[in-house]
Amino acid sequence: MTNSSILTLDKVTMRFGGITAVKDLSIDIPKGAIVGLIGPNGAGKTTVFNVITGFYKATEGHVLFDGRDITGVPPHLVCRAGISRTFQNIRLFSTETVLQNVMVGCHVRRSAKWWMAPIGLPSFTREEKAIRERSMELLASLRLDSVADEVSSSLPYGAQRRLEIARALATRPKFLLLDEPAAGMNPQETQELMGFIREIRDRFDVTILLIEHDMKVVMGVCEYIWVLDYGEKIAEGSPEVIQSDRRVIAAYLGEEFVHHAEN
Amino acid sequence: MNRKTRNLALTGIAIALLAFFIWWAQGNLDGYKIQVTNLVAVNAILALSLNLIYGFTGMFSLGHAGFMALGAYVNALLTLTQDQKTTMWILDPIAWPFSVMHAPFFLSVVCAGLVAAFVALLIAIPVLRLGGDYLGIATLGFAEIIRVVLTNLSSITNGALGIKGIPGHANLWWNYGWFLITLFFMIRLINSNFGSVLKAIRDDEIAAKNMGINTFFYKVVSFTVGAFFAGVGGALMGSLTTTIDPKMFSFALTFNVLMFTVAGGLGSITGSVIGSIVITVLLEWLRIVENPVTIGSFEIPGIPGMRMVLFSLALILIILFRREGIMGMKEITWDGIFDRSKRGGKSE
Amino acid sequence: MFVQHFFNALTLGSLYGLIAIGYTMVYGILRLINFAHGDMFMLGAYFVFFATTLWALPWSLAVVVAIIGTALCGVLVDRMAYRPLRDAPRISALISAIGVSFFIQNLSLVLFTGLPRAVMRPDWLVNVIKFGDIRILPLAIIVPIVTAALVASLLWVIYRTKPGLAMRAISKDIETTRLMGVPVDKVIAMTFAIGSALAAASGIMWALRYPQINPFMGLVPGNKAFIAAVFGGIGSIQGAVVGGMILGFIEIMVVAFFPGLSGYRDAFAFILLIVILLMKPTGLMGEKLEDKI
Ligand SMILES: Nc1ncnc2c1ncn2[C@@H]1O[C@H](COP(=O)(O)OP(=O)(O)O)[C@@H](O)[C@H]1O
Ligand SMILES: [Mg+2]
Repeated sequence: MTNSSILTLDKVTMRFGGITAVKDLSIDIPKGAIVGLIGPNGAGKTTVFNVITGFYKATEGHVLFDGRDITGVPPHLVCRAGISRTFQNIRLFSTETVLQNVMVGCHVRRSAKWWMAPIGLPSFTREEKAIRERSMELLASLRLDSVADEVSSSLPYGAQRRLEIARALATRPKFLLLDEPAAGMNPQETQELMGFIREIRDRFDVTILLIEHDMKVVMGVCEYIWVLDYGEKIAEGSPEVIQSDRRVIAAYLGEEFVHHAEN
Repeated sequence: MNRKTRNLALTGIAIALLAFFIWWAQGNLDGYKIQVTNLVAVNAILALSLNLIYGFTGMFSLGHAGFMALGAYVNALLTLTQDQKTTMWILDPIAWPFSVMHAPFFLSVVCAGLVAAFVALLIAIPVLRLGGDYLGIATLGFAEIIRVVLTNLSSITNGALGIKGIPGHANLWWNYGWFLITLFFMIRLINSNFGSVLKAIRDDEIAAKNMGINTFFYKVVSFTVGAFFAGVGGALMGSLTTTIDPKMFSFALTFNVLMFTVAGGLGSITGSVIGSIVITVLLEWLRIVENPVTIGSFEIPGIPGMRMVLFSLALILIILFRREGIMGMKEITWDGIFDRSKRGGKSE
Repeated sequence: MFVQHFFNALTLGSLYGLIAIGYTMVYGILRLINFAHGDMFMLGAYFVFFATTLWALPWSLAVVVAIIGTALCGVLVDRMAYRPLRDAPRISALISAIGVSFFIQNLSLVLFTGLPRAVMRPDWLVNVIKFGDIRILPLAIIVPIVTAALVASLLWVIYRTKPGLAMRAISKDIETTRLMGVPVDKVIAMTFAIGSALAAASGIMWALRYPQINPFMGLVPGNKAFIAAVFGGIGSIQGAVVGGMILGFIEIMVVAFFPGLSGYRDAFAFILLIVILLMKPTGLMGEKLEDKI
């Protein structure tokens, strides 16, 4: 697996003062996979995302991406290297339009400089147009093109989550992290989302790591799953393996259900 | 005729109308009215520059008076002749390169902006790591430091006595010319994807970083460019009043600029322009309360200082009851005026 | 010489510290830089001036009137200009605070005129006492003592009384405190009253030390005291006092030993501010708050 792995966490520990949010975590994610990270609230999942994307620097251990050590690299360079994410509490650019949100995502791959904008060089104008077109395509692929000119904060919740994904894709990531993408969605939207996630992986050739509480989503789309509890990895494996793991059931439901589940 | 050519034509017509107005005003308006008209243009430049920093990029900066002071002093030093400078500097004789340096007005104003921008760059690198109100107080601090330095460096600035008799080059043509340059620059920048990037930093800096934006770099750019235009505005203001001294560039001046910007609408270019017109005219109109008024045989004595009382009251009322100002974040655009079916779009 | 400088610094530091407490308390609770706080300092001095001249009250009674009057002004400012903005973006309240500050200054200019006024000073406070070569104003000893007493009683209120507990709770989490049934607005009003009263005390003592008062006298000491509060770690009362002291000592001692720098005196505070913000943004005694993502 190491050979074709895109992201490796090597004994990552993250401490905040007295709290150890993530402890000695090692993970290896194969290229092109859709994998999941689950665990009860407060288990440290979002912290793992923050460590990968450079918002926190791991107290110990290393993050390797595409063979490169990115431990402690600031977030904007992590993005440039090819990692993008969504946030558990949606963080859109709330005053900007849907289209502008996605276009901001395109910014990281552009070559023009800011001072070309007021001067209006032809190369600048051309690039600007290309970005607009690509953003519209992205919006179309997430069925948001009809609301392209709406202010992003006016969208319903499910659409905001999809817009965050579109915006993340605009940065041309090789690796996409989704933090509870189905949270707040109704069953129909969730069903659609599962389709989107697979479609995105195939169309954009990305590896996807997702945090999710909705077990239907996790078990439905993930090929491999890691389970965290109190910052520690308590299990890993295919959905079938995880579903029958007694420590996982104990972590989620409490010890008394383990026996129940085994019968 | 497609929309783009139409907008271009409309912009051309608007500029021609403005030029006609200036030509007419120079022949027909009295000196006081011309002065107010000039102030509108300079204040609009200042409001736009603060709006870039605060309204569009979300950096609460209270340092505008400092950058204006730098601009005004640079322009004064560059447009006064050597003779004028040597006779005026009383506290200390004027130091060498400053005594002889001289430039034509346009270049002088550009230099004023560049010096302000350069100092802003030096300030930005340490200070912009701070957020929110800490940034406000730190930039206020720098503006005060600039003022203290200007007061003390009397061999360059003539100290607390200030500089008098600055050539009054800044007539309507120059002021409105610079206003159009600033306006054009802002429209182009803000309507581009770089404008969206600045607004993204304002809306959510963490998400912006996650989008691969070097937020610190763009904050520095916005702050420095804003300071450039503040320096330009300061230079024009100094040339307009022909007298400057360090006291003039106190926090009260920043407060005025903040007022134009907030009243017009933070994050609205047209708002800044409208805010500058409304507030400048209001401020002049408020002079009534400071002058004695005679109604029939009654004379109501003027109340000195009342103008600023009403002015600050106005700011408080705006913040309490119409926080978004006149325009909010909306813009008036040709498209908005002429095809109401299509909302938004470019303003040009 | 040094002893005199020492007492000067102690006096100035106490005065800064007393103002700084008001900034730090309000910031700790509302995350608001109360720009109008420096003007409470000015109002305190003017209350004494008018109470002694216009109403011909004895000085000691005038002080009591001034402190109560200023406290009421502080509460009024909060009620009118800040409370309606509790749920608005924080910067709105800050702009409102700047507006209030200019409003108070200019209204004072209209009402009191810009003429510098001389405040009455009881003789026993300003008759120089001599210890051998050293000449000291009684004031220079009394100001630090009064300050220490005020700070001690404030700390008692904050750590030993129910309203103090409520204040500390609000500064940790205003919403939860509200849900627990604490009358949050009343406690905030009390915070403004206490802060303004201390600013008034500082203003009154300032007027004894530097007896010319004018409507803009609060501006510079106010800004400096805010810096002292940041320096000491905003939110911390002890920090505010320490910050005020340090600033007072720096100002007096630098000018005493490097007279050539006296023109830059008003810049020291800002330089100090910028240095501390860059080195330790939480100040000397502040707590670190990390953003959760
Ligand atoms: N910036 C931070 N400062 C202090 N503690 C934090 C910070 N971020 C996360 N934590 C703590 O780390 C633990 C894990 O949080 P999180 O990663 O958000 O959990 P999850 O996403 O699995 O629900 C929690 O106890 C949380 O309080
Ligand atoms: Mg989480």
